Amino acid sequence: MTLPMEGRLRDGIAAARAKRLDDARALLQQAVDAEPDNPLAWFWLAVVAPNAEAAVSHLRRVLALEPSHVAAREALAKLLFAQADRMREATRRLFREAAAIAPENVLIWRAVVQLAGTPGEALAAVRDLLAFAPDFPEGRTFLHDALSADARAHAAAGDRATARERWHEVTALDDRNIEAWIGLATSTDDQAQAQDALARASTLVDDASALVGSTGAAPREDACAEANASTGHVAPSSLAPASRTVMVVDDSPTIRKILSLTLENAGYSVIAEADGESALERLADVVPDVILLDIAMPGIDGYETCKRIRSDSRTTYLPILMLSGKDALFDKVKGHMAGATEYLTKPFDAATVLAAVGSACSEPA
Amino acid sequence: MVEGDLMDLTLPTLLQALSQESSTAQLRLQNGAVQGALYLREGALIHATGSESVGDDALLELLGWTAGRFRILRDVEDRPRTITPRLTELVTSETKAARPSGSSVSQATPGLSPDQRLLQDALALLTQLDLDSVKVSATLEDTSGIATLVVLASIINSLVGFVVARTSDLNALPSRVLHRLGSSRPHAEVITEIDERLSIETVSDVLRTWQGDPERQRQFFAGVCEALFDVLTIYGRTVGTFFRSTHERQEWRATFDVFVGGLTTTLAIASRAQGVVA
Repeated sequence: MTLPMEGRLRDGIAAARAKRLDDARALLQQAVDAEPDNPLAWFWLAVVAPNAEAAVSHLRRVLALEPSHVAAREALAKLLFAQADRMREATRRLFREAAAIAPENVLIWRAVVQLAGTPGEALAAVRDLLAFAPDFPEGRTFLHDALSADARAHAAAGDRATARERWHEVTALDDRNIEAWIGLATSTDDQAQAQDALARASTLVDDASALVGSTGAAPREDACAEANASTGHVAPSSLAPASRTVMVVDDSPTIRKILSLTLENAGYSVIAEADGESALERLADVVPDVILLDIAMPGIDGYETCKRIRSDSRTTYLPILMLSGKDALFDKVKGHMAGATEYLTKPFDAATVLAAVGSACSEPA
Repeated sequence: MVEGDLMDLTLPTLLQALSQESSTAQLRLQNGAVQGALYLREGALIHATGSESVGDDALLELLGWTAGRFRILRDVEDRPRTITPRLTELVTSETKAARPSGSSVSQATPGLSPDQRLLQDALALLTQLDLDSVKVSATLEDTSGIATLVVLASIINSLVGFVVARTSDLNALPSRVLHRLGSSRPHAEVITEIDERLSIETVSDVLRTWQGDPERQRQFFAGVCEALFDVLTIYGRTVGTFFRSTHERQEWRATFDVFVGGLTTTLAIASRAQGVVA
């Protein structure tokens, strides 16, 4: 018996949700064959696509039919970004190989620096470049920028010693860099050195204020307030770009506090909610990059919360890391069936949490 | 054929054994009139049948069984693959990894200062203590309050272990702490220590054999709880003194205060439910 188109689509979506991918693909393919202008059918075909290329193709089709399809736009953007990132890395390797063959060619080095994937790689490339071409016209600017970016990255990762070294180098290159002086102050344990660096920053801010004159700008307090707040130290997150947002859902205030502290110190923005209902309400306004979701909570538990998050097209693709109170297979199987991406077992340590969140953030949808 | 009781060998344990040995077998389960079966091919779980379910749903149903009989048989028949690959992988990795859980020692994170490493270790310990504090709620049936105090003492002893492992200061030993506390908190005197671990043996004896006014009993329980919280706070503050950096010290104190606040709430709820303390 042949199912009507609506039946195939409904069954295909059900199969996709149940992770019966082969069945889902077959049914959804029949659905789009029967009704090629149905964006929902193309969207779900993208969800179960066997590879990224097919998913990209199907999602483009969705957007051609319905340009305002939010979930398709987000998913396609993530996939294209991941694809571009892979291509960038491959291109960088080619340039690096070329630079090794012809180290005197500064154009190649410039490309290596510009294509670096991390601040550390960029800094290493700049140092290599300057070793071969000390008089390279943009060398000083390149080094300044690479050192600053690497200092911020180390500060965000909690590596204050390396951050301090980098900021020190930046101040040697440019002794009027306010950020570098504040960075130096906040990364040293030597109170005298910290106060000296803050005084330098303060003087520079005063100079800047004088230049701004009567426009009302008063950056000094803004720039130095947090640095002065805790006897010379700033949480690394204040120096890190808060480019990723993590939602923490746990009924324990201690766990919420520990996770928030750990993630914020690593540069993440954190939204913390105490139960599933609050989390779902918050998701109506904000879509984070990753969700850390406790299983045992009052009200709706983590499994049900996970299912509801998965059933919303805006959050279907969100990585959900479930926090299990015990290393139980049952919890993990149930979590998997509810749509969890990965599991963290309590008690956990910071390194495990950061590795899992970092991995979830880096994975394409 | 091997058979036995799920009370003696749990299903995850059986799956672990079959998976580690790369067995091709069927694991038949019976719980009263209800039957189920799991099928493995070379250690990989491929198929499951429950009372009225098949595949992933059946696996979930069977993993929920805590009682019943099992039989392991050789299996030569072709079986459909009804377990999704991700679940097969999950079961296999779970059972083969033999990963130690519950470690309170942080993984080595390169580039951290001693203070940052200490904070990581201390916060990892707090996640363990927070998990333990949930057990307070499980002591509701014990109206004497003894079970609650055992959990509380166990939590404090974990923190004591963390502190004494990191300092040679004899004043940090429980015997000295209890002695100092005794002058301001009389109930601290009934908390004893054995091998520098807190013991509530004496308190338990008193509560177990209490014959007097129940109101006085509640007051006694509350007094012991307050003394234990004082000990907890002292050790929490002691951890704070290990940090050289103000930043990490403040982060630890703020987080520890949140933990103590949460534990106080849990204890208050449990105690009210037990009726052992007003």
